[in-house]
Amino acid sequence: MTGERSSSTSGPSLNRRQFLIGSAAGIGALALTRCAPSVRSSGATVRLPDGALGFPSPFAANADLGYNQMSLLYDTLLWKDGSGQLLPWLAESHESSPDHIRHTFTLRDGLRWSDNRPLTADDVVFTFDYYAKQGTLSPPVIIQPPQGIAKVSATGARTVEVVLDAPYVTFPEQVAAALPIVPKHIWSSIDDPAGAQDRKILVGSGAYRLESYNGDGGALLYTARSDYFLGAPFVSRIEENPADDPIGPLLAGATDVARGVGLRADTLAPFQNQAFGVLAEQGSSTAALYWNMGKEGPLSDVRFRRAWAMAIDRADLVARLAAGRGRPGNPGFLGPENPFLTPVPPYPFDVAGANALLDGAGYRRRGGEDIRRTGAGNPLSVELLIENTRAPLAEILVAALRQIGVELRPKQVELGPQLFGNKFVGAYDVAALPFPGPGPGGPNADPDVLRLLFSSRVPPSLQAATNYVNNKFDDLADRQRLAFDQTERMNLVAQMQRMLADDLPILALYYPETELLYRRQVLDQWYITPGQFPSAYDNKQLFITGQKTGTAIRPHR
Amino acid sequence: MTAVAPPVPARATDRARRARGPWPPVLVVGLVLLAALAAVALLAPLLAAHDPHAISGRALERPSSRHWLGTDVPGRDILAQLLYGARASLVVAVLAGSMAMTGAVFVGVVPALLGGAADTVSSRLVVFLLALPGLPLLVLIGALAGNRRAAVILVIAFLGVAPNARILRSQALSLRARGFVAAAQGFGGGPLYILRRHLVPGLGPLIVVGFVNWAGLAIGLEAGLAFVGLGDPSGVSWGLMLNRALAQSNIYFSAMWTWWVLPAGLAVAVTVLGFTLVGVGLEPSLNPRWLRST
Repeated sequence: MTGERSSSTSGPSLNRRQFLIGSAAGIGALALTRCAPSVRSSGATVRLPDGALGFPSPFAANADLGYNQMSLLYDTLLWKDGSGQLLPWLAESHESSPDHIRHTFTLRDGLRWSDNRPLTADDVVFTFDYYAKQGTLSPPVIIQPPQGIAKVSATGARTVEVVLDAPYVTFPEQVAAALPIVPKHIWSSIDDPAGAQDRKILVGSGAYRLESYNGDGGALLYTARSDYFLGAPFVSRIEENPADDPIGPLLAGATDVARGVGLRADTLAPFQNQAFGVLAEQGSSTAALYWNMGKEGPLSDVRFRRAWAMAIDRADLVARLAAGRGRPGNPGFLGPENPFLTPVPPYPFDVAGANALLDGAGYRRRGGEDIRRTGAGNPLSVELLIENTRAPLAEILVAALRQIGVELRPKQVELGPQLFGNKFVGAYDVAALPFPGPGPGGPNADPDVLRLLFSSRVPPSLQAATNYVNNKFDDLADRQRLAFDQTERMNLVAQMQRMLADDLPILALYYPETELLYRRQVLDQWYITPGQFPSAYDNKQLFITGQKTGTAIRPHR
Repeated sequence: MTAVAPPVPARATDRARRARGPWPPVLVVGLVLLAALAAVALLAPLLAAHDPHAISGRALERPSSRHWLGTDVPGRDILAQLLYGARASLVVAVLAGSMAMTGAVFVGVVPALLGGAADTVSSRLVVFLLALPGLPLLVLIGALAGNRRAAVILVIAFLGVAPNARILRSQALSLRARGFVAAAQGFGGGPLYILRRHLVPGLGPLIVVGFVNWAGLAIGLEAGLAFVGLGDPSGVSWGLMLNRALAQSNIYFSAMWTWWVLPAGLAVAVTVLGFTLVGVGLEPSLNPRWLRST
């Protein structure tokens, strides 16, 4: 559940720490101010601590943050608000046939692109066709061509019919509310959409125009379109300036929001007052262990993997790595706030039990050796692929596994965009990876995330289980995708979670608390998008309306 | 550009040393600092209450009687890391300094003795290496060589070869012109014999000064490489401590930096200072240019 905390200020006195913080923050503020572009506007201004994550076109923007930046320029047929409800967006209405195969969208009247040309049903049809023509887009582009679309046609100037090849329950959220509609008159002449990075092509139907772009990683400036179909947006100007650590600039007054994961109490303390709001969400992300089950030997032995789950104190990981702010990992993978969460075998921390399990499986220590050996005499020594920013996690895992006679050899790499790419897919014994990447959202997202991660019928990716093949699971995963009855779907997803807990292709280690800190004076209704999809933070619905739900624009104070 | 120093008569050298009297204070202070570093490095297992790799406490504990400098994120003792970090620094300093000077002898002195094409090629190579920007080259080679301590030492030693070879070559050319080298050659002494019997002893003071200076620099470079994530992540070093400490979001919002960042930073600074003071203290006694000026 998303919670909000605040408390009153303690008084005007300034101690040494506050002075030092203020001084450092002032310097940061000055630096950021110097970076800010100089376009002025009359409405609310929001300053974000982000640099551009890829070129902000639908075919080049990277990951969730890049998707946010792109979505300010491009709209979708539907869009999600802070309650998790899908809103009519470009489409004023959405109807589906009784069998959920045919979806009819009626576009709003008078929609226009930012170059003032009309947005028509032909553009929507073109968008679906254009995406389909691209095949798989190179990671880390977040929105991939939608699967399972049989036909898309314009049945009127403002009416589009999408016919699916099966009644997918996730179509409205994962396609209609995620696929950015692009103008036919711009993209029809572009053969390499990922390579097209001229600002002139950034013609969208979105509420904002991109005034300045300073390359990947650089500052961005957006200004609102006064002719937007919902009316002049509440936030008229969005400044994005990169900050390595966003907390200081927020405290200094240089930005209006900061995001953090598992922040320490002393980091949060300066924000516990009326000037700031703090949102916290449990389980929207995780760090998970991925075993490469395609490798022969112990990695494909479920007893070996279960011993790991028992040897790693997941509650202790929360204490050490998330400052006590978070939850231990769930062997069924789904996050603690996911409505589909079901109880599964928890594999409690039990080193003696883990040792007994390995003894029983024939992995034994010889003589005075610390490291166990397989029946063939090979030492239980595996390489751990891990991001170089996660050294403390590697060190804790090494110590934990040593207790059960398993040697872990960390191989620290800089994943960067490769977290979403193919370079390291299957190229490890065990990997400790952050989740989510782009696409399905986090552990609190729609449970179709389990199909995307664990089904052997889905193309491999670094975020998915490696070489996990369970046909029963795959069948369940396909069936839940078609189950419109909520009870039936929950039952299917529960079975999937129990299978995952039994098989352990991936072990979620811990879910750190996600924090969103914001300045109330600028915007006071921030939210973390339920399921963190299609965008986790900085939701354009909030910027446009000034409030958490609906499409009505809040009047300025 | 280093000028070629003229030969210094042995008697003049002795007189200069005697006239200079006791060791200069900077040398004494530098030696004390380095002696303390060596003592800490050697006695680290006795001084540290915990294994620096072992998880011996809760995460980010404040200083206490059990953990005098608190603990890091996994819960390892920071004081133990500081003490064992002295070992890493000393190893890097000694190995990188020795290897740099050995390389400098072979790249600078041997070709100077052989003369001809060997000397020409060698001096051009040295000039080329000196023209490369040191810090970017260090980072590039460090990134390519991987996060292993041996690679880090080799990289730092490699960077030290060219500047020291240039200095040694100049002095070697000066020595080669002296009569006893010609006499040795006249009696059939080969290049290696002359190198071992006459040049290396004659160059000894310069080699010692070069070693001390480069060893000090190596400690700073190793810490810098570890700080930017190019060190050995499985090791214990002061640079790695700084890297881990500053990876904490807003470490300066709490007092944590005073027992984590400050000791590691001071350790690097004091050690580099120690080597620098020793180098400064030795140079007037050992550098031929200083001796000439006296």
